[in-house]
Amino acid sequence: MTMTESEPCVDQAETAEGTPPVKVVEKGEKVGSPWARRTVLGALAAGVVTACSSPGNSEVESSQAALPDTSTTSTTAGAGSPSTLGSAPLQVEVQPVQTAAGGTPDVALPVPSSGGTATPAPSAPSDDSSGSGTPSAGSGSTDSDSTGSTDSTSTDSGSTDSTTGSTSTDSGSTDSTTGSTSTDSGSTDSTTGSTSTDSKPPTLTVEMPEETTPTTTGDTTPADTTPTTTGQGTPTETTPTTTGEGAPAEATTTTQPATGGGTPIENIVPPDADVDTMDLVVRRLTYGYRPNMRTQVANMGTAAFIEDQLSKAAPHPQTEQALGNLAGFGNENFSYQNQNNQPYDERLTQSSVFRAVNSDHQLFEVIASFWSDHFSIDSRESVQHRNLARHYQEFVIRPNAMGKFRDLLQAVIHSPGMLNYLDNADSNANSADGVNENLGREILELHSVGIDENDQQIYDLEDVQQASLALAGMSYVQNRDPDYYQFQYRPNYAYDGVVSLFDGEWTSAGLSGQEVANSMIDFLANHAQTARYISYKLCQRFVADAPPISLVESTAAVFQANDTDVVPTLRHIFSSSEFLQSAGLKYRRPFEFVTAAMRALGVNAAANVQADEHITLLETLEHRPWRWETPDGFPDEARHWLSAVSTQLRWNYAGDLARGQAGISVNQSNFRPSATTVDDLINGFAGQIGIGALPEADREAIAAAARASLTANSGSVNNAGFATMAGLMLSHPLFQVR
Amino acid sequence: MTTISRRSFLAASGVGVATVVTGLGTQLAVAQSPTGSREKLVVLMLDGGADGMTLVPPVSMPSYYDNRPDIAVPQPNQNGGALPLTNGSGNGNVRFPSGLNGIFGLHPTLEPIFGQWQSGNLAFVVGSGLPGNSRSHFRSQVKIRAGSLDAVEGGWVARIMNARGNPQDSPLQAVNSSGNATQFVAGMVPRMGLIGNLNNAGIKGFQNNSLATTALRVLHARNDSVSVQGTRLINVIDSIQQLDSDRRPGYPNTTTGRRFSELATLLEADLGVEAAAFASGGWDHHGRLTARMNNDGAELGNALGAFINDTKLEGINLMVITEFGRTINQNGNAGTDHGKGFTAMVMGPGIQGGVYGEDYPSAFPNARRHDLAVLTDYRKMITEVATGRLGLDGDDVGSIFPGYNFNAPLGLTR
Repeated sequence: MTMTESEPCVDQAETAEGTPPVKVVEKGEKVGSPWARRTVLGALAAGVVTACSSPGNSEVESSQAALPDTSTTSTTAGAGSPSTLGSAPLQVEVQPVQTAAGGTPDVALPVPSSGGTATPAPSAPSDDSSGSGTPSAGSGSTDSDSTGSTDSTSTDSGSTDSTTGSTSTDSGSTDSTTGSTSTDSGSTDSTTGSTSTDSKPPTLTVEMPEETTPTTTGDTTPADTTPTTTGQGTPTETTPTTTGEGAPAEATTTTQPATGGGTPIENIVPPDADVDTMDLVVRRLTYGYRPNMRTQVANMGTAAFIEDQLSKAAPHPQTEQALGNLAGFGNENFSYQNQNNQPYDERLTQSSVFRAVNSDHQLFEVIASFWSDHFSIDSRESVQHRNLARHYQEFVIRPNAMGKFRDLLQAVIHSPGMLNYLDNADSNANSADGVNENLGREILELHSVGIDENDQQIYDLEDVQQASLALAGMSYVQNRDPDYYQFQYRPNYAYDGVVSLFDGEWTSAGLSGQEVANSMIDFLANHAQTARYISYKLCQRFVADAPPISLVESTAAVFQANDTDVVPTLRHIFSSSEFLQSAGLKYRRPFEFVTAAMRALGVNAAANVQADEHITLLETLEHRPWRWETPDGFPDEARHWLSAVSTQLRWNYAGDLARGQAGISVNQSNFRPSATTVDDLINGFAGQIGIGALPEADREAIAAAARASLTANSGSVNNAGFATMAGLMLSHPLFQVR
Repeated sequence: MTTISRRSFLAASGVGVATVVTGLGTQLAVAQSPTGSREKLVVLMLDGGADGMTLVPPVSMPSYYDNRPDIAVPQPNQNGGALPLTNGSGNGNVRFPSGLNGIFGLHPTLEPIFGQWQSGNLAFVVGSGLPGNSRSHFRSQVKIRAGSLDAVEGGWVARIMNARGNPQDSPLQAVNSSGNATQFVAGMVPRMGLIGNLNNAGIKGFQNNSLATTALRVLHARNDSVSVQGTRLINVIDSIQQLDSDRRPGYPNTTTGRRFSELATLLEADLGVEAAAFASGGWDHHGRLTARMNNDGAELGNALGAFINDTKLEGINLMVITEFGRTINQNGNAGTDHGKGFTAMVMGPGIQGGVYGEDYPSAFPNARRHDLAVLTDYRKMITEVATGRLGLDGDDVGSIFPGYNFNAPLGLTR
């Protein structure tokens, strides 16, 4: 199983400074094969789906019809491309035409229709612009209560209504937008460009819609967006070279056929309709919309929102302060004499939930969670392990989450938490037992160069032993306050000889003491295969369970060209056509569902951090932070998480939460749209939580369930009625998707 | 059991992407057919590398005692000794490859399953495993659950079920325990997921749950996996909710005991459960092996024994595996370290009892690095159960274990 080809997939030389690493070197087929294999699967899936999709399109059509004819902006381009991802509709800006995807995506997950809700932004009445006039401040998680904001949402709903009203597909007027989906409509084709039929690679204006949004926010955004992007060695092809000053917006990108197969193993259904780019971006970069956030992002512009989040590369100060003020959270005491087991355990979960729900630096929290998975440790064994996990979370992962991967890897391998978890703390090269190989193995297998999906690896057992020798002596001590745990190097545990990796690609010759491990860690962090592996995982997080190889490769190039800096790497992913076409390819894992539900209801987690129903849910569904047994971390694939039990427990949690029965008090004024009709309420809330315009049947069903206590069309909707609506909305299949 | 009307949008689910979508609106009415006619597969994985030489010690081999002076299980005639796995009276139905009769015993804590041996329904495959697998827990567990050294999608339990189909259209075709066991059934859309949640069953979160359920049915009238899962669940949720989630009489109040109790409840209700995959942790006995095995073995034996008494294993094929075996020699902590070949157990009325693993005696003393080699590919045993008891045919084998060349069957099934 030793793999021969240690050849880097990406030519490192090319990536010097300003030169974008355009060139992707032919890689060993072994390396590429896993994705290639998936491509085949993906193609198969697409085929299956296409074949099957047509009969079931009624639903699709209707939702499509819901698209606002008015939509000046959103157009979907169907990906005629063979790629599996390509099948997902892509939101394109500006073009009046909308090409529907051939109706085929491969993924199991539902795709929201980009209902009228998507578009409100552009047409956003001036009035709410005032409300959200301070978009930069960050998507008002904190200020959720400002009821005035609801107006904004109502505007959304307003627009939706128009569309929904015309829901019935037939309406000729809407054709321009809708027609594409249903193959038949010949009339529409003219405009649409007959999506399904022609496989012409749609030339897409992929980039974040700046134009869409009325740049109410002013020039603030554009500035930062552009210059940075270009500077970063983003590979030419995908990245929108944001040229323009003011509007970074429309970078025209030619969609390259996404070759990879983003094909999760299970099912496979065409999206009901197109998804709005903004909603996609927000679902992926954050833990979901808070009540007023959608209007704010719309006003800000999607591109600006992305840049804004990328710029917030540290914890959100106010959130951290609020967290510290909570009982038991401030003045962390990491000595474990005074800790009893349970509260400390809960604190690990609660701080994660609190930050995900409340922080305005959403992308930072998402990335911190990503690294917590990548560099997973298990907190369950003892109180000490929970202390170590807390220390690890606060002082190892979070400070390095949005910096350079190399620094993060160094921090992790020097951390008491990891040194304890993988037994390196006691690894003694000079003992009769020899070194412990746990960390030496995992730094290769899981932390850096990795093993790809086809079980190909560039290291062998000898490398594991060599790495373990290099790491011997890396240990820690536990002090009394305030030093908690500290790294300690133990020279007497260290190996004296020369070690090397990958047939001499790296050697410790000439180095001594701690230089050896540090040098090896740097070497691994900078390795081309690491770039590929990390890129694969980032793409899996943000794009698809099985991300397309094209994107993995281009991302790896950016990662390397930018000295393992995470921010430009993420920027590249977010601006890629593969990303923009990936709607419906990611399933919200339990933690993501719970926090998204709280955010949707405008919950102020500060007041509810002690609530325990969500902890029970996370425990039951086995997604409690820092409670994954093995060092590979929580899986990020839908097939691991999707089950009947998970589905049903989500329904109950959604219903309980909306009714204020989940241990969390919910103030409906925080999230209830200020609408007067039932449709307005439903559409307003659906839009506000980012699931688009719902099909008529769904709206009817939700209204019927709530009807007992809801007076239709009168504007009088009591709490119970609205809670029922909200609970059902959070139970909707579309809300399970990020 | 009351009749449950089941409808679905999926006609069948195949392996992975092969799921067939019949199209929205084409609801297939599937005739009610009890699963009783189809046999079940229950897999229990002992995570950590259970020591087969303690669970099923080769009590007649002197080298066993030579290698483990402090931790060997005493011979059958001694205090705390093993139960003899022989072909004596009462268990005349068992089978031994030449030379294996009389070699092995059963750890005394597994006495609750000894009746299966005596009935000739309990088989041990000594020296089984996945050839070439790692000594790392993490890697080897993943491969064991996947059923391949190569990267394959999902787990082999899922592939067996997908090859078999789901005519009853049950959302509960497979149940599993913890996150580790999930991989066994990964790749199946219709699966219940975590067991241990019967008490949570039911739609309970809304003010009017009946109306909410009606709405949820509409919201899930879609073709995607989430919706399909939800629709199927709604179709049986009332039945699940009516189940008694209490621990059944006779089952120990342990993690494994509760899981088997719940499984028995589900099987009894005939809701379409056809596969169960459980994981039981803590078998990495690097030290204090004797005491820990007495404890862990008792938990295992009592849980299995209760399940056997309760269900009589009627229509059930129960398999116990682990990720690797352990060293023959004891280490400095009165434990053993990671090795290769492990001892698997398979039981049920359709299983031909006996001890399988022909080269064991010769492999034993010559074991390199002091562990037992993998003598029998564990996929052989699974393949035999799948084809011999679960109704799969030879063509299916390739889809269950891609690249595996099945030959020379052990004769494990009746």
